[in-house]
Amino acid sequence: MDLSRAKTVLICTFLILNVFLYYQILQDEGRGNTGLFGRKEEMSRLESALQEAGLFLETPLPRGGIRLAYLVVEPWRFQPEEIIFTLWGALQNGEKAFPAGHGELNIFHSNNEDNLAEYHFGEYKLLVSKEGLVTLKRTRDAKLQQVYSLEESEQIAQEFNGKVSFLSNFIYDYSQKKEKGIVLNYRQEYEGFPLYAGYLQLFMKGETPTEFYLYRLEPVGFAEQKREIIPPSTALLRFIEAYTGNKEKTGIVEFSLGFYSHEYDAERWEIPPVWRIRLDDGEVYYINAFTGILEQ
Amino acid sequence: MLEKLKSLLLICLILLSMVLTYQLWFGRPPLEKGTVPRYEYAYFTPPPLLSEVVQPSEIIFLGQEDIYLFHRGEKEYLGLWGKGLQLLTERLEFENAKRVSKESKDDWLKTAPLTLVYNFNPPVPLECMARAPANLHMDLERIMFSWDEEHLDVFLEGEEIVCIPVKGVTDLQEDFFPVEKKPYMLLPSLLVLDVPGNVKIFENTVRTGDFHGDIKMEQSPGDLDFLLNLKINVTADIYIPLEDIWAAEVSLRKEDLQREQLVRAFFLDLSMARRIEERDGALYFTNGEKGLRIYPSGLLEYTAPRLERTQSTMSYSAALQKSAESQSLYGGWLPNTYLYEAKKVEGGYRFLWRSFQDGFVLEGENTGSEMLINEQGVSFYRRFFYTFGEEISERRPFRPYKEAIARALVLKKEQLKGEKVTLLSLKPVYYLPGGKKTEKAIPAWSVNFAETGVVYLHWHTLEPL
Repeated sequence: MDLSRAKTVLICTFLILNVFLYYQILQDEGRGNTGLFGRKEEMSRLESALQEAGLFLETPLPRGGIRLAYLVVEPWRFQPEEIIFTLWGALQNGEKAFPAGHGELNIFHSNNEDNLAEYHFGEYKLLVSKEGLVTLKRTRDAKLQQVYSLEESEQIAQEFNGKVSFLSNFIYDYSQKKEKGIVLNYRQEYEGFPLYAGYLQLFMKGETPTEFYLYRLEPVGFAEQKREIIPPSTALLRFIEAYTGNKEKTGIVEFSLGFYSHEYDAERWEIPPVWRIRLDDGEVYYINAFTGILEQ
Repeated sequence: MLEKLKSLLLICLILLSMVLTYQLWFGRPPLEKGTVPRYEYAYFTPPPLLSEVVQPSEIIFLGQEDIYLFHRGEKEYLGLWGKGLQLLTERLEFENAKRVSKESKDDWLKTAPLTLVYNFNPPVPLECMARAPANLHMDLERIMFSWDEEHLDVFLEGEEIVCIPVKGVTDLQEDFFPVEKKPYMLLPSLLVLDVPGNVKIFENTVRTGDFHGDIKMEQSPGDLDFLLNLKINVTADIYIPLEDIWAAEVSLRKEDLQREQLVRAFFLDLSMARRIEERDGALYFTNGEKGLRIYPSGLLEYTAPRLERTQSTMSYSAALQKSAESQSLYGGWLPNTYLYEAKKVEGGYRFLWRSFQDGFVLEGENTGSEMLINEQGVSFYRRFFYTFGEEISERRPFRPYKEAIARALVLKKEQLKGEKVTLLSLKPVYYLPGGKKTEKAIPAWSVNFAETGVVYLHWHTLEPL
């Protein structure tokens, strides 16, 4: 083999090698891994920490290594009466049209002990907190209801949401089976990111919701200053440190990135990106993706 | 030519592969280690010496017949405190300290022609004032300098009393002699509002028409007979000026803190604190673990509940030092701000810092600062400082102390049980009334009975504030 040919072969080989190495580096950065040594150490630390906490991962860790800013939101401003009128049609399943002069839609308003504005209409009562959390509850047990499967309940709830203008843009999140019935969780979304702080929780039993909890936000936009978020592995370690948990082995069924804060009685506020960790026992935790602090 | 290019390219590719391999192998430092933000100690004002902000509540000059008293914020006080501190730190030989009993100290002081007393309320650790040996650890309640013709004895009083003789300082006696003399008297331990005096008090407090609302004009001296039978126990040493105390209302200006620097002081960096605009106009910054609320009024409130739950083993002196430093960081020190109250609580130490002017403390809802601190840091901080401006009313004398006592008792008559009351404190102060229009400090009598709590009375009309 002449020297020139050998050089050509070596150039090709190193070119391929360099492309491969570069791809690996990009991949690792995307996952939030930090070098083979760091990664190995971190993974073994994670595994032992998970084991000690009685947790196991049922889902792969998502990609990290992105830069985000706070999401600025404002509260959803509404008139409780408007909510009631809108809900009335959907709850009556179209059978009872909105009566002229309000008819049987008598609305009683009072403030209860918890300082919630309370509205009664038909078989329902609506509670509104000063933070803007809207709770709907059926005051009387419904007649014998047909039992629906989870999929059927999801379908019914989807139709119900479609009929209510202020619920139609909520996105299905996850569901749980509880004593009260099937609980369907929906969330808001902003520019492709889940907005966990805006949520709808529907309790389904039969053809209409027996209860719902609604907290809706009006996203304004992202704040100016972006910063790198902590990688999922770090968030998981922080979660394990804060997790008191139960003695039984518990699975992590979801690990995702979104925006979350609790409800505020405010004009405008910033919501941090969070890593959401959902367990198979129904518990949900939010780790601030900037600070690593458990959001409470 | 082509061969040379190939060689060069090959060398470049080999070098690049080495760089990439290194990066892949060792990578960047883990984010959890690499992105810990640096804490910027951006102090508003430099951390003060403790002796600058922790000073005696009063300095009492006890001559053979006369008593002169000086408070924080007075010119004469500053000179006396400076000289006392210098003597304490530079001339005192702690190895000569000998423990003495309270009785022998009292006997000693009775015969001393001249005594200067520095009263600390709250008590202050000795190590905050001077470099004392480890076996002489005490929370100072009082320092007494006692001269006779030949020598000076210094008594340090806390949980125990030590006496330290000082040689060669007789020449200093004149230095400590106050230039401005304000004669005071010590209230007796049992105070009775005498009958002839009461008639005058009734005249002044009920019939002058200065009052309205709570004391009705139809009240007669007979309705106030309960005062005549009342025995007032004076539990603490309360000194009252013999001469009139002149004062006027003073304008106040809220301190204006640079918000960005303030948020930076509490959080690691600005981007760590998310901003919440509350409906009442307050701004709230939080990182999910601690929160800083800045009210539209300017009141600042910081809480870190996780730290509050910490069991604290921090020493009093360390807590005091850390509190003074923290105040430098969280807004800084204003002139004439001193330690007003200190208390050991579950989560550490609670300190109150207040402003003083002309010897009067500024009291009122949320004035000064309150800090809860332990070894983990500040778990609670509330701050609302004002700077004193010009006098905005006519200078008038304070009404006599007996009238203030009588007035307070009349106001709180319903809370009194039996014929005994306990007077805990009586002092002239500046009072900042609550409400939105609180841009002035009103001189007031602060009358504190164990049975009623503190009553603030307008210095000239004795109206409750």
